[in-house]
Amino acid sequence: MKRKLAMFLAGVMALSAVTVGTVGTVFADDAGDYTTIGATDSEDATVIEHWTFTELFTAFYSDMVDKWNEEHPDDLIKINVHVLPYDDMHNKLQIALNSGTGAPDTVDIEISKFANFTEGDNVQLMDLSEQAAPYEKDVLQARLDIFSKDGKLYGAPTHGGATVAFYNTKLLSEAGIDYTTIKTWDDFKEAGSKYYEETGKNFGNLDTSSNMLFNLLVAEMGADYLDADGNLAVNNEGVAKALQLEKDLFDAHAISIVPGGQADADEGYGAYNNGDFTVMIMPLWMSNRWINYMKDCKGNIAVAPAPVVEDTKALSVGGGGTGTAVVKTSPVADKAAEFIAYAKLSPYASEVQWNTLGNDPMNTTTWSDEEFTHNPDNQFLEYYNNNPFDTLNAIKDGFVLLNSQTTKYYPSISNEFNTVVFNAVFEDGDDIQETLDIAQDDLTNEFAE
Amino acid sequence: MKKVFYSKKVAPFVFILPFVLTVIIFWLLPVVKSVVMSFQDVHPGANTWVGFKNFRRLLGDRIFVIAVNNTVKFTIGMLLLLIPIPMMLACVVNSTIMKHTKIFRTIYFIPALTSVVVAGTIFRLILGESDTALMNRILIFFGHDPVKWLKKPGTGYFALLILACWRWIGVNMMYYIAGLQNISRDLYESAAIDGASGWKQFTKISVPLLKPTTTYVLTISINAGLAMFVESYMLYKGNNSPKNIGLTIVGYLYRQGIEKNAMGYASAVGILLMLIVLVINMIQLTLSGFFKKEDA
Repeated sequence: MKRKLAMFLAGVMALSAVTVGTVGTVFADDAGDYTTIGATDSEDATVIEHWTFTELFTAFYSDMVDKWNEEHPDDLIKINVHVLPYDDMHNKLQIALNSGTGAPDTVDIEISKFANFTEGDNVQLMDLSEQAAPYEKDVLQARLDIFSKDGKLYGAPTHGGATVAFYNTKLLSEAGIDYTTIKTWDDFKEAGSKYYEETGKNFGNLDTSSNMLFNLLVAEMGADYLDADGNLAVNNEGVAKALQLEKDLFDAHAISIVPGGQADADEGYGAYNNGDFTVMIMPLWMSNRWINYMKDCKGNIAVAPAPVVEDTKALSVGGGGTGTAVVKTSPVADKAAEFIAYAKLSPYASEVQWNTLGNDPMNTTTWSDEEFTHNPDNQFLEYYNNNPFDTLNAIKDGFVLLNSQTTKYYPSISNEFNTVVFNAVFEDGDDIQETLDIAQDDLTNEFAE
Repeated sequence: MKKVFYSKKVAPFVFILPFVLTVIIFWLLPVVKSVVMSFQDVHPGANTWVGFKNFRRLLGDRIFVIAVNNTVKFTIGMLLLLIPIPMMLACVVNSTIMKHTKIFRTIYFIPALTSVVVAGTIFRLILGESDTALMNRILIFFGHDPVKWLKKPGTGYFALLILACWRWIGVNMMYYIAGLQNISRDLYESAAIDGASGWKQFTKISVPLLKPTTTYVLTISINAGLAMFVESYMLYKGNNSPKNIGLTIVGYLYRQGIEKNAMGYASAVGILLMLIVLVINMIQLTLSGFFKKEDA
C-alpha cells in the first residue's frame, strides 16, 4: 500500500514537472493556426515562419512566394503564415524578442509599433540594406527611411501610403457638389457645411483614435511633432495650427467624428457603406477595405488629391505602413531577408501590391506604366469611378514624411494623440493649447533621462 | 530510493514539494526579478542599472495617477455592489420559500464560466456609439438621444462596473450560499417562533454569522478590483481608452512593459501596486479582527 502511494506521489511529481515544462513551450510556440503557402509539396524547401496581423497579406505573400519559386526552382521556399490580432501579435513579438525564444523568422510590424523594436544597442532585427540595394533606386526613399535607423534598414515597406481623398460622387452630385472644385481646405469647409445643411448627413471623417488626417494637416503646415533639434515639441505652433484647422472644419460640420473613433474600423465601414459619411481622407491602402467592407459604394467612389492649405509644399503624407522585418537570430535569416526584399521591393512586388492589396506601389516606375495602371482586370479600378494613378502622379512631387515618424518618440506620440488629445479637443471641447501642453508634459516625463 | 520515500523526515517535504516549487517558480522568482528590474533599463540582452530613475518618473507621471484613480474608483464601486447584492441573492436562492433554486444558482453562475473575451466583445457591441447599437436603440425608443457609452467618463465607468458585476455576482453568491448553509436552520426557526420578521432574521442572524465569508469576499474583491485589467482591455478592444478613462494600474503596467517595451518602468509600477495591495489588505485584515487572538 505504502509502496503504491509512494509510486503514485513520485508519478504526480514527475507529471507536474513535465507540465510546467510543456506549459512553457506551449506559451512560447503558440501562435494560433497558420496557412502554409508556396512550395507546400517540397521536402527540401526552406520553411519561413511568418507572423502578420492582416489576413489580406496572406494572399499577397502567396503570389510572391509562387513567383519566387518559379524563378528559383532550386531554391524553393514555403511560408507558414500566422495571422494574429494586431495588439496580440506585436505584444507576443516583443516578449519573444526580449526573452530570446519563440520569435518567428519574419514578421509584419506596423509603423506605430516599429520604433519599439529598433530601440537600444542590441536590435533583434536584421539589417536588410544589402538585400534591398538592387531595388533601392526605383522605390520611394521616404518609405524606406521610415523603417531605417542609423543607416540600417530594418523593415521592408508594403506601400507608399499616400494620403488621398475618397469622394462618394453619387451622394455629392445629389447635393449638387462637384468634388473636382475642392482644392483647399476652405473649399472643403464650404462644400462640407453646405452638404451638412442640405442633407443632415456627415461630410468628411474626423478620427479620434487615428492620426492619418491630422498627420496630413501637420505636414501641410510644414510642421512636425519635434523641434528643429529633434526634441519632443508636440505643443509647438505648427501642431497647434493644424489642430485649430481641424477644429474649424469640425465646428463647420465639414468633418464629423466617425462612429467607433475612426474610419478604418467596423463601425466606420458601416457608416460609409450606408451613406452616413461622404468623404474620407485616408491613405490609398483603404482600397482593400472599400472593396471588401463597403461594397454598396461600388462605382461611386472617386480618388482625388487631399485638400491643401494655401502655399503648402506637402500634397500628401505617408500614412500608416507595415515594415516586414527579419529576426536576426532566425536560422534561415539570410534566405528570408533575400526573399523579403524581393517580395516587397521588386517591380513584380509592386504589381502584386496594387493588384491584390490595392496599395499604392512602392516602385514608382510602375506609376507611369499604362498597361499596369489601366489593367482592365484590376478589381480596384473596377470599384473606383476614376483612375487613382492620375491622383498619385499629381501628388508625386509633394509626397512627404514627418521626420518624427522615424524616431523612438513616434509610437508614444501617436498613442498620446489617439487616446488623449483628439478626445479632449473634439469630444470634450478642451482648449487646444492646454491639451497640447498636457500631452507634451506626459511625453517629456516618459522620455526623461 | 526506498529509504527516501519511507523516511518520516523526508516524506513531508516530498509532499509539499510541488506546491513549494510552484510558489518559487511562478511567484517568488518573478517578484524578486521584478524588484531587480525596477532599478534597470531593460533591453534584450543588455540591462543597465539606472538607480531610482523609474520610481522618480513614476511619481511625476500624470497618466499613472489617472490609472490609480480609476482603479480605486473601480474597486470601491465593486465593493459597494459585489458584496450586498450577492449576499441578498444568496439568501433568496437559499430560502425555503424559493422554488427551482438550482436553476437560479446555475443561471447566476454561468457568466463566471463565459470567456471574458466573448463577453467583452458583446458588451462592446451592445454599448456601441452608433444609433443601431442595442443600448442606444433602447434609449431612442424611450425618446432619449443616443449616448457615446464608452467615450465619456461616467458611462464608461458604468459600463466597466456592469461588466464586472455581471461576471462576478455568481461567484460571490456561491461563497455566500456556502456560508449560509453552515448556519443552523434551528436559529431561524427559533427566531421565527419568537416572532422575528424575515428582514430581522436576515440582519440579526444571516449577516453577523456570514462575517467570515464577508471577510473573505472583501479580501478577494479588493484584490480583484486592484488587479482589474481584462474587463477594460476587452471592452475597449485593447488597452487604449479615450482620455484613459478605462485605464487601470495593471493596464498601465501592461502598456509600459509589453506595448512600449519599458520593462524596467513597468516593474516599478508593479512593485508600487504590490505595496498598495499589501497595505490595504493589512489594514482591512486588522480591522476585521483577523489578527486578534482567538478567545480560549
